[in-house]
Amino acid sequence: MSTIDAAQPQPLTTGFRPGVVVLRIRRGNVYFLLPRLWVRGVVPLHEVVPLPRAKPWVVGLAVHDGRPLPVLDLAVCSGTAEGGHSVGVLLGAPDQASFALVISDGPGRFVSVPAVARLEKSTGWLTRIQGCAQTSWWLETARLAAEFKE
Amino acid sequence: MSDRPKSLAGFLWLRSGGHDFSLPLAGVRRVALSNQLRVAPPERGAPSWWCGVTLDDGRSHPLLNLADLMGAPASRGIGPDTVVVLASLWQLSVGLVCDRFRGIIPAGDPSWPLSPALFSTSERALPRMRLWAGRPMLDLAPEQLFSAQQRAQFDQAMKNSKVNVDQLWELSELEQQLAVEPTVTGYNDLAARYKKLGWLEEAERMQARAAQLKTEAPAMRVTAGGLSGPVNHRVLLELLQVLHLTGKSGELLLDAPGGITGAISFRVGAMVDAKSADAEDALKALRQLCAIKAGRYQFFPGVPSQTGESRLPADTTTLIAELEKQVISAP
Repeated sequence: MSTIDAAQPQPLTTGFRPGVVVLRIRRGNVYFLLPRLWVRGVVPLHEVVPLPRAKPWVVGLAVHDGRPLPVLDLAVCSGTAEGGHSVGVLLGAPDQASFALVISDGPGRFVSVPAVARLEKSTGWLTRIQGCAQTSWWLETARLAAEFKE
Repeated sequence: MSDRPKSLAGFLWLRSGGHDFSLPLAGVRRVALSNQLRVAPPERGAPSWWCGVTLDDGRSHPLLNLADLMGAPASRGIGPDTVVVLASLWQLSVGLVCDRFRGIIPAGDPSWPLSPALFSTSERALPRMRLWAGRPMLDLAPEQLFSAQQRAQFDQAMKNSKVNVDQLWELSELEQQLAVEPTVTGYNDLAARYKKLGWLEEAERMQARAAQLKTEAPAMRVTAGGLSGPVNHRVLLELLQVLHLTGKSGELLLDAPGGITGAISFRVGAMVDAKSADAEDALKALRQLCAIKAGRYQFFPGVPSQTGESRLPADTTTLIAELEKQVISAP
């Protein structure tokens, strides 16, 4: 069986469990759930400077709080390519500075992970969620942060 | 006190292919416009980012299109206003071809590492970013511009360009000899050789020099007792002072790479005229000639061709003092 039972501990993830509060953001018809503790804020994206040689899901660099941060498009990463954006969600470990911005069609909403939700087998820091009404993905922020530090 | 030049701190602010970059000044020798350089064009089959080879300060520098190497939209070829940063790469001298030079970024501002995870291949990741003029900017590490394949192409292009570069060296040396002992035939022969190699601009420049020599022939004949030698802006200033203080009459001819030619006329120690290829006004021409960084001079004593009223301010001492200020403030 390729899916993992939601009731069991998730060996490759931290924080995903039914009932936990997450920020749900939308990109087109797809939703992304971000762990609440890793969301540092939502800011308007005025100017994103493209980054040459970047991966397709790296939109560029934007200035926040006096320093440049990479801007990521999870829709491209999940294979549901999207254009345009309105805001950026600041990601950062609890009590630490932000390390990236994730673009979103709007400010998003804080919701609880549905009781029936479970993750498909994880292949990276973005994992498809089964059991949600809409196509949804879980962002494993700790793993993303670790990859950025390498 | 040490005579060794201090390595400069800070960064060049460059724009290429729609991106802003900062390049550490420590590895930069100088920034030039392409029309100040003599370029051997790329050979057939060279990679698109290889723009040929230029000779500067006794060294050859392969010219590399920065935008093309970065995978950004790049303009083809080199225009007269293209900016070339002469810098070091793998302990070689190279010319990085950019769209614009935007300024100097002082050292000491904060910068942040860029994660290799952001880039399509970590091998060619850019190492750091900084903020300047309120915008994110990328620190450029020239060594990381190249993939393994591009490095191999670079080495091959270096080998292939050898013949072109050797010819350019030979012709440059001939040109320097001609600057010391100019002859119409010599310049015409040189023009023909440049033309044969496809360096049409150089050929035209030599033909123009030959034509100029023909018209200046009476003044140029008096070579006995003349002075000649290499010149830069400081040497030129000293020459002007000596010619003024010793009350000389004659013409001081200047010739620098990149088609910069000019003449300054003296009458009994007073500067009475200055001409350069691209300035009508005598004072403007004089200021331009005093910015020459490297070239040759020849002084032909005698009555200058300018025999009418002086085209320069009458007080040569004050004029030289002003030029001294210009020379001192020049980098």
